[in-house]
Amino acid sequence: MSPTFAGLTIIVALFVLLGTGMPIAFALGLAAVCALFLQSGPGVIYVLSETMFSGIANLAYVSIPMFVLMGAAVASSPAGADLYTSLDRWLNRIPGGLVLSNIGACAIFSGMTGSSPATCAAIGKMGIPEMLRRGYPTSVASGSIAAGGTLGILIPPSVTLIVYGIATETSIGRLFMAGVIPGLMLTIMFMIWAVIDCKRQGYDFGARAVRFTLREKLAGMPRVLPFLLIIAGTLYVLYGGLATPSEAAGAGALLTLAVVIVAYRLFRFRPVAGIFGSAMRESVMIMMIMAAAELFAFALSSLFITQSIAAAIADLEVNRWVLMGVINIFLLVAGMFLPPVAVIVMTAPMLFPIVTQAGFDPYWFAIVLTINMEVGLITPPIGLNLFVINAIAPDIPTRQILWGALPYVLVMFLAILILCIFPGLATWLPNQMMGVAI
Amino acid sequence: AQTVLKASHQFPGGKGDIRDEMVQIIAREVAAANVGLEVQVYPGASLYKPNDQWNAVTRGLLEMTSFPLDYASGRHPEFSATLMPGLVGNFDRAARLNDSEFMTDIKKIIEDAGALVISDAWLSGAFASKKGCITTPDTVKGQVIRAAGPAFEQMLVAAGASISSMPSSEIYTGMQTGVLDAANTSSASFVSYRLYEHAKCLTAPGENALWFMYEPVLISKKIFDGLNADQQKAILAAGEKAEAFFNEEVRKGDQVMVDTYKKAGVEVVEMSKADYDAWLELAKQSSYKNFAEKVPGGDKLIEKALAVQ
Amino acid sequence: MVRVYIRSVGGLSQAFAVVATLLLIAAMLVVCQMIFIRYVFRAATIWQTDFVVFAATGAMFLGAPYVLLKGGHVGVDVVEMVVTERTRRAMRIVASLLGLLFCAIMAYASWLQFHETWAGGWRHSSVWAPPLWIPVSALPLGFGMLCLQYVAQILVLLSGGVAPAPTHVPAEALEAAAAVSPSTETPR
Ligand code: NA
Ligand code: NA
Repeated sequence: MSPTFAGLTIIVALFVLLGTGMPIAFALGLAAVCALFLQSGPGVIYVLSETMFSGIANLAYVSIPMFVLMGAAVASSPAGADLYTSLDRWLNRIPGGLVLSNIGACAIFSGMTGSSPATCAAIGKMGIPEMLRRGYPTSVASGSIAAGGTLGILIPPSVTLIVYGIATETSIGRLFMAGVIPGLMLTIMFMIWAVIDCKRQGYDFGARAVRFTLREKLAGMPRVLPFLLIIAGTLYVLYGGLATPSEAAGAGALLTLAVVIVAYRLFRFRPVAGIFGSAMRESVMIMMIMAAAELFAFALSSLFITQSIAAAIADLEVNRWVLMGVINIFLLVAGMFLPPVAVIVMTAPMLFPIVTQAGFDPYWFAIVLTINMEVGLITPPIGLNLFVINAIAPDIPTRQILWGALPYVLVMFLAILILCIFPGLATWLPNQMMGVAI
Repeated sequence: AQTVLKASHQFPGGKGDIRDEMVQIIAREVAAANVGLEVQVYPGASLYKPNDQWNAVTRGLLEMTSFPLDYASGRHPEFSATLMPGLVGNFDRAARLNDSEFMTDIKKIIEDAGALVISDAWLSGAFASKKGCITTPDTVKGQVIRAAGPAFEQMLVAAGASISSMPSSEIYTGMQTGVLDAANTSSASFVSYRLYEHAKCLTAPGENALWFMYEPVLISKKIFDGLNADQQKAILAAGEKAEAFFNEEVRKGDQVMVDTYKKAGVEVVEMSKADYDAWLELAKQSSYKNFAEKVPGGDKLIEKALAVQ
Repeated sequence: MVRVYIRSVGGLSQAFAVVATLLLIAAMLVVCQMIFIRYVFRAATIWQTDFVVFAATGAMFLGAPYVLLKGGHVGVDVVEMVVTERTRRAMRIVASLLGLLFCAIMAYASWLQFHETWAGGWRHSSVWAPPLWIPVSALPLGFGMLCLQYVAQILVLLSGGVAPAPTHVPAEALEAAAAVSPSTETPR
């Protein structure tokens, strides 16, 4: 079997399996196992278990359940709603204030939790009805929340960047830092588009704004305090010489739990057990996909498919920017069908050498890759954020949700373009804080 | 038709890493021998995870690997002796060690498990610290250090250091943020991870080097036995070529490290014979003692290694 | 009989999930203990890293059956959305059988690995050197339980009931959404 033929077969098999609706993790695993049996014979059974186990038995990967726990703690308290309300009171008078507070709350919230769907759920549950009530266009209401939620995998802490760091042996601390400025930039770009879109659809900001007194504005502040505490605490653990990024996640989780339990007086067993339970379930979901993706990546590599694709891309005697374009299209398509972690586990080890050989900065590339993955979160057929919006706002037709999200996809393309022109946006902060990259 | 042999290792491919070069040489030599064999190299852990290579190669699922033998010490505790502080000392002694009774014993265990050594390779390593030069055992007291290998960790704990395990890619961040005061790893990693940006002092291997690790090129016995005589001869000859190359080049790697650190303004020292002996004494009370207790015949194995001149 | 099977398998999956959750909590606490010991006392941390890694990894495999029970493993439902109810039911059975196939292969493969680590007395190569069979046992347990859970799911489907299909939304996200009460006016 030639690598090209084997590659096509295994990918078609994967799609057929995915099409039955079975869990992504098991579809990846089954496609891999079948390919391995066909290629290496039954003896390969002896490495399957080891491959899955050692694929995720890694201290850096432990940070994923920890960050998920952090997110679950924030997400299952009224914290999201409080954050949103306080922001609204301050930003209300600015044209598009409400949509700005929505996107801003999404950025802060997802920045902390690292979970895009949780962000959409927590902020959207409050934000979408409120925007609709004040007459914002439906597409703006749903689109801004769907897109705002994707910021969580770019603004640190980010599960996507952790997986990239492990797959490519790059520093996770530095990756987090590289995500900060592009994350803020994308947040602002989303905000700008939201305002333009409102105007375009004839929304009258002046007539709709509600006035809040200074007292009301200040009264909202104490509710934001817990968030600031969590952010400051985690940053201190992370960059204050207390712990490595992988360890900091554990400390961040404990801190967040403590703050949330005290601030929202969750002193009963049920709510706390609920936080842990939901964190366990989401972690299992992510980590099973990653363990199975390891198996899939092993099968691709075993069949020499990864290497052949990599060689084909590397041999493309083209300008490095055309190469980057090809890689971006490849990532976009992969991201449309698979969750970010699976895409990175399977493609990063293959793309990384090509990209660095072509003279691109590995930390810059991590950010470009992450934005591609963000796009995947709001495109069909698997767009986690779209489904969440669909679930929390059942009155908005799916078509409208898709339509509302589409412009944000274009905004993300624009962001990638800007990053290509000014790579310093990603590399400046880490270089400033940690010296020039390795 | 060509028989394809997969060769896996965890080191960067095509960037001049000496262990990658060894495998590439074997691939080239075997191809040139024209015996119907082709070696496909998978660098950078792109096929198997570093620790999983042992299981695969001994079972015949993977044909070849450049493998740090200590990684399999959980299965064959005797292999800990190949990453034991102070057991090697310097490159000349490493060469003599290869033909000793000690290595005959180790290679017997490798073979019984299902693999054969085709090239010997002992890699050297160093220490670096943000606080001061690590020479005598006293100098490491109170420092948080990331060490390479359990036996080293045991010795460093005995010296009063605080060990912290993390992947080598996080050492840089660890030293920068202050999670780590010091690190101990291979010379190649000291250069590629740019630790000179945060280190104040480097303890280079020199004549009295504490850290040596055995990282031979292995071939699966099951696969090897299935080859014809010409093919076997070609593989062994290629292995010898790779080993000769290694012996020629390995010292240059240490020199590159020393030069890089000096250029970066880092103080570079070496351990004196007295420092080395003090560490060895400490190792005897900690790592060697544990080893002898844990491994049947472990004390004999250490004796055989120390007996080499 | 079938009902008893389905209920007891569900109960067992839930018990596994409790263990998994406790392991995650333990991992979190031990990470914090490790940071504290090292930072405050500058003392050696020998066993913590191994413990944390193995506890968290084991938790993932032990928790998987319960996540299947709750339909929490993400799947793609593009095809499901466009077919008739009858076809959808048939597809769910096929998908469950395929899932069962994978879990059965992995249950066998991980049993082999477990048996080797157990019989060979293999340890993790670190200073603490815990016996490897302990963390590795999570795989045969998890995949074995996944098989039982899949059989239960198939029985439910065959008897005409509604088994939780893999969602495309992590159930947590929706629960989180439900938990967020717009009680912003409560003074705190
Ligand atoms: Na985040
Ligand atoms: Na998508």
